[in-house]
Amino acid sequence: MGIPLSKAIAKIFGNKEMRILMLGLDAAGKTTILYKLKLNQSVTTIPTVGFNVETVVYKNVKFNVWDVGGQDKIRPLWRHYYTGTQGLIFVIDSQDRDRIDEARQELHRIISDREMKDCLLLVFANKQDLPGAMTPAEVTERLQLDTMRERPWYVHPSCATTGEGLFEGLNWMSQNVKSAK
Amino acid sequence: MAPQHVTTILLAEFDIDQGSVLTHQYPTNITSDNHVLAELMLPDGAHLRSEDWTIFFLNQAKSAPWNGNKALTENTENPLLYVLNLVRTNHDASIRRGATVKAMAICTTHQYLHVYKPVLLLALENYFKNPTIEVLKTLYESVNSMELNPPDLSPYERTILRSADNKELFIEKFEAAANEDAAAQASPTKVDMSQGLGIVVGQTPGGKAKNRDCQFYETKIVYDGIKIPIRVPLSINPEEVGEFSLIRLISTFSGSSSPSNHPYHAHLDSNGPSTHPIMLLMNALLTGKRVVFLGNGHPAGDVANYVLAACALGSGCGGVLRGFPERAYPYTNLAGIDHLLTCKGFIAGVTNQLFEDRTAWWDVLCNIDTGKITVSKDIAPMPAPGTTGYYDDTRPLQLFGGNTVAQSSSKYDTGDNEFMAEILNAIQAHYGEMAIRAKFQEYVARFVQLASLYEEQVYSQTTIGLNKTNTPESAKYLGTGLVFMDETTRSKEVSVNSSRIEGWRLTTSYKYLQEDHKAWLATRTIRCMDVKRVISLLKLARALPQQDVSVLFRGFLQNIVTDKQIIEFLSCLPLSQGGLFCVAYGLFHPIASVRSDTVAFLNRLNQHPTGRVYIKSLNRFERNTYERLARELTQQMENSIKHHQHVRQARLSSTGHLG
Repeated sequence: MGIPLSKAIAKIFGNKEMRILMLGLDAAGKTTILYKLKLNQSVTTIPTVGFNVETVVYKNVKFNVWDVGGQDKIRPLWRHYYTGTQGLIFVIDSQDRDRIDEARQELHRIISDREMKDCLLLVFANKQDLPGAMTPAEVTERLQLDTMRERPWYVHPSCATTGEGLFEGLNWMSQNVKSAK
Repeated sequence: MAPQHVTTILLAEFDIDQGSVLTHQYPTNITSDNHVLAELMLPDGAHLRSEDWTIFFLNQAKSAPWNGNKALTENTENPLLYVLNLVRTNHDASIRRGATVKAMAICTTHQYLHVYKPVLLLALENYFKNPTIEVLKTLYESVNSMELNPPDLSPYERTILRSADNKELFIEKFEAAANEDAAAQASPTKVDMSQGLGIVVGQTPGGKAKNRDCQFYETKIVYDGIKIPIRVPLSINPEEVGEFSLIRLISTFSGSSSPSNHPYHAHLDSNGPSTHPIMLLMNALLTGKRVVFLGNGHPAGDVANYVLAACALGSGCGGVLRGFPERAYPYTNLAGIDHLLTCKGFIAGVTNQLFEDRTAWWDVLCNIDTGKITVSKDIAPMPAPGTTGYYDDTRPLQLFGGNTVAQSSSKYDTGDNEFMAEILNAIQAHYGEMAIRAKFQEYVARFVQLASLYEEQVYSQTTIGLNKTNTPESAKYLGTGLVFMDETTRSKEVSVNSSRIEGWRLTTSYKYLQEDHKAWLATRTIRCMDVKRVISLLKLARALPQQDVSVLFRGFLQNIVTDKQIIEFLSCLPLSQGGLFCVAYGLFHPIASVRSDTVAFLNRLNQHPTGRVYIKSLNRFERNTYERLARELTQQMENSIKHHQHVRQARLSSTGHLG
């Protein structure tokens, strides 16, 4: 009884639900982004053991955001989160030029998975406040996103600690998601 | 060599660059799959809390004879290991990324692994200060030098002890064990245990009932100069692992309505649409379904306790069935999923809500936050034979279609709902954990007896219960098997339970029971009767034919003689359920020979240290009657001797007179 009713209301008011998976190398700023979105506060984070999951409501869209730890040895676990994901947020530490190639490899590995073939890709070029940070265009180029034609993707500069750029990213997600269930 | 309490100490840490890493295994490596082990030791969300206790097991892939592996030799090289793990997160702003997460674990073969909590806490603290393998070595040595010399109790004796908080039970064994401990200093003084002759009721040897708790053996671990008292539980059943609360499991999942939002499943929905959620869980455990306990964002220790309690639920508190811990994963996560999915009928605890969506991974999911039990939409369907539908179809009962009167009224009634109502009342009335466990042990034991009866009827033979074939003399002593009020109840009960019985017959716990039963038949000491049946008949207080009662009490007197037989007999009479009261019934029987046989039998029990405790716990009326009858009988015996002498004399003199 309860579920159809709430679905009807959601339809009238245009509520959408979106399942978001947030990945990226360790220390890219995933957890800081998650809690900035959720609490609008800059929290001090420590490395994520396992995952964090929060619901963020923005412009009538309910985002279920999964933030999964990014260390080398735990990346093989990412694949378990793919099924049902509508949007991937891939977070880049824009200052970390040494590992941008590593990040590219991981990103391409993720989106080549069958389970991820229909999902949107949003890249946060994070840590824009740090000196020498790569620009969004540079990140786009280093990640070789231009080769991706089938899938909607978008690179947006961000600074997790101040929150700059985060909601613009979500906005793009909500506008591009195919009529959610 | 002293037996090893702890086989291995493990240390894992969350490396901020690499992730979960197993840093040390002491003294030797127990696994090569270091990564999965490290992931289990560092549970999901460890960064969100300062500490978390988890439990998991190792060496679960056991060889079993029915898998075509070698016969049942106890797997001593790779026994099932219970792992107690503590993970801690220390925040430290001065280091890169602000925190360190480390976990230490103790691998032991003891089921009571929770006793190691204090020492593990100290050791991990030390490791944070001084991260070297030396810390593991010190811990290993200190836990393995723990003195452990508990009284030597047989399974029957454990059953007796478990049923009663009586400080006089097995005092002789406690003292023997204590003396052995003290043997180094003094020459061992033999404990004089069984010389309390006569019928004086209420005498215990020595009267040395110290202020002790007879359910525990007390010892200590000395670690880092600190003496840590350890209490080893003595009456736990083989499959009860760790510290868990069955009451909590029942309370959590009894709140919601029957989980009927799924197609009818013959193994699970034993009571149709009104199957109690706990009974659905019980059925899932008995028939080997894949069961997951989910606690979103909870500490791993929370879900682990539910899994351990579920093992107890399904196994009859470890006292009836086996094979539950070996398929239990008290805490697991995505790193262990590949292994988990290869295990048939696992019982797993997880904290990742992702599991809820992955309905292909489990059959039954129990959410500890909502108290809701869900049957997977992907579960292999198991409708009743010949039908495909949901609850509402009017399905005829198969197999035992004889009596239609009782069936038409309630086609599903297994009595489970009545049982659950009784359990919930008992919990509400603040009955203790052990009382509730005892009820479930009885429930599962009854299920097994029912299954044995079912096998007799359907397959004309049974390998899991007593019958005419394996206990031929039982014909004399009221037969074998469960007692029913009448024939209708009997056929109805067997019939409504047939689906889950068939489901259970496919599982490993059934195979284990077949083995156990075979072994038990070979070693039991009372071979002529089904003691459990006899006792439930006596308890029913139904008028038994006088002839049968007279044969039965003579049977007690003739067949329950040795120490082992007495203990086996008493183990069927839990003190918490009145002990010998139903045997004392013989004291009031109209036939004189029954009364005198009862007295003689009670006299025998009164000379046995455990029997004496039982006799002491009879109520005052029964005890007085016993004492009075015993006196009268002695008197009678003396009188009859006198009488004989008198008659002889009289006869002699009369012959003399006549002659």
